[in-house]
Amino acid sequence: MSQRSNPASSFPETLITILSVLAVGGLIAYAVGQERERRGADPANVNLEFDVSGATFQDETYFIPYVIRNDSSHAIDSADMLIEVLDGGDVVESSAISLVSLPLDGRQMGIYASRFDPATHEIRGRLTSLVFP
Amino acid sequence: MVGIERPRSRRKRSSWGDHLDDTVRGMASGFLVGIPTVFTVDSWWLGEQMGPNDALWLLIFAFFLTWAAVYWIGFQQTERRGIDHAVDAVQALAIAILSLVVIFAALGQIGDTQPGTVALGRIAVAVTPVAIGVAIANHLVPTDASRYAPDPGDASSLRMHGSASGARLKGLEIAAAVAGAFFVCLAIVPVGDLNDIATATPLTHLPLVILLSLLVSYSVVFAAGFSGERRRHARTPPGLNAFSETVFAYCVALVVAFSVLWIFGRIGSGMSWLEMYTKTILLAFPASMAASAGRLAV
Repeated sequence: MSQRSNPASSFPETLITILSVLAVGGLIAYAVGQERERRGADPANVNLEFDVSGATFQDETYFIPYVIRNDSSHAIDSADMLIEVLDGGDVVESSAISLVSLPLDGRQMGIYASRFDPATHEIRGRLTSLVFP
Repeated sequence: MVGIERPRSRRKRSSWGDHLDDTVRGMASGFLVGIPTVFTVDSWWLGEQMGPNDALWLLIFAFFLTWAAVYWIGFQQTERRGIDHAVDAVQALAIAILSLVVIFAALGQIGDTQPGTVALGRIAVAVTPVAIGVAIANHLVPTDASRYAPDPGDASSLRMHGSASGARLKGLEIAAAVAGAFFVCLAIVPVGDLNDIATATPLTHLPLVILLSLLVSYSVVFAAGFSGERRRHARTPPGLNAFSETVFAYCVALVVAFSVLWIFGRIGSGMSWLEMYTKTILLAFPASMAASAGRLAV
């Protein structure tokens, strides 16, 4: 049985190859870009933001939505955060929350339940411990 | 010493149709090999926690493994030499990446609110088995293979005299679909990841999962060059066309998925209908692919 020794590339094959290189190359370029970006980042930059305007009140409790962002240089296996409610500088309520698995640039949304009105009290969150994968 | 003469069915020139055929066969083969990894929630978590540098190394590793598999077996039906194998490896990798993007998007695991690094990590973890599956398509899902006819030397081949009747072939085809679906279900259900996958998949994505299951099943059966495919298109009985036959294969996958979930206690009478529905639809996704490929998957 005779076979063509080295057939020239057809137009479909050339186009498919170009698209394939773009797909694979794009993924590699994205990985390289992300790696460069994260090298300059703080290793423990986890931020918690409350959406006070989105809070709802029900059964003597304020439900305040929040978002935790991992802007650090690593993915996070687990983290503990402390949420504190302040009234004129004094902590009147505090609560610990735990996070499990927060990827790079990852966001985790939640709702914090408090007895105090977020419009008249300050709410803050801070990182207490961090475990990397 | 006399060499073994093997039949060569490779094409000399390839058209758009040939490339589409090779790509769809590659995708089908990639799904069959890679789906147990994709349906393991640990691989999702690993992808989430992976840094871009690790993902990059995994992609490079996947490329070289795929290159070796393409050199040995391949998925193109044209003759390949020299640098062609490297080009095929890039194409196989691209097919695998595209397939994973579609699967993860259907399951709601990339896009939406997920950061890009999660997509990168998840693709990097699952790309190697899928790409190798694509690269060995000529072996796993060969052109003009049969979903139910035994290979020469198989017990049923040695037993069979003459050609089987249409009804018998239909029965064998259904049995092959059930066997393929069971094969994949039994690889996924005992691990117990389906609970986590069902929790992580948004309900609004389930129609997408059903559509993708039907599309992939149709592609595997009617576009991947199985033996008798053209006759199927030409001689479909009244009321039974390509779509209805694909839907029938999907229903087989649903029944098998539901049965295996029930047998392993993953669903039961005390559970809500929604939970049973979600788990069955999700498991029927890989099961329908295997049902379409039938005995080639077993």
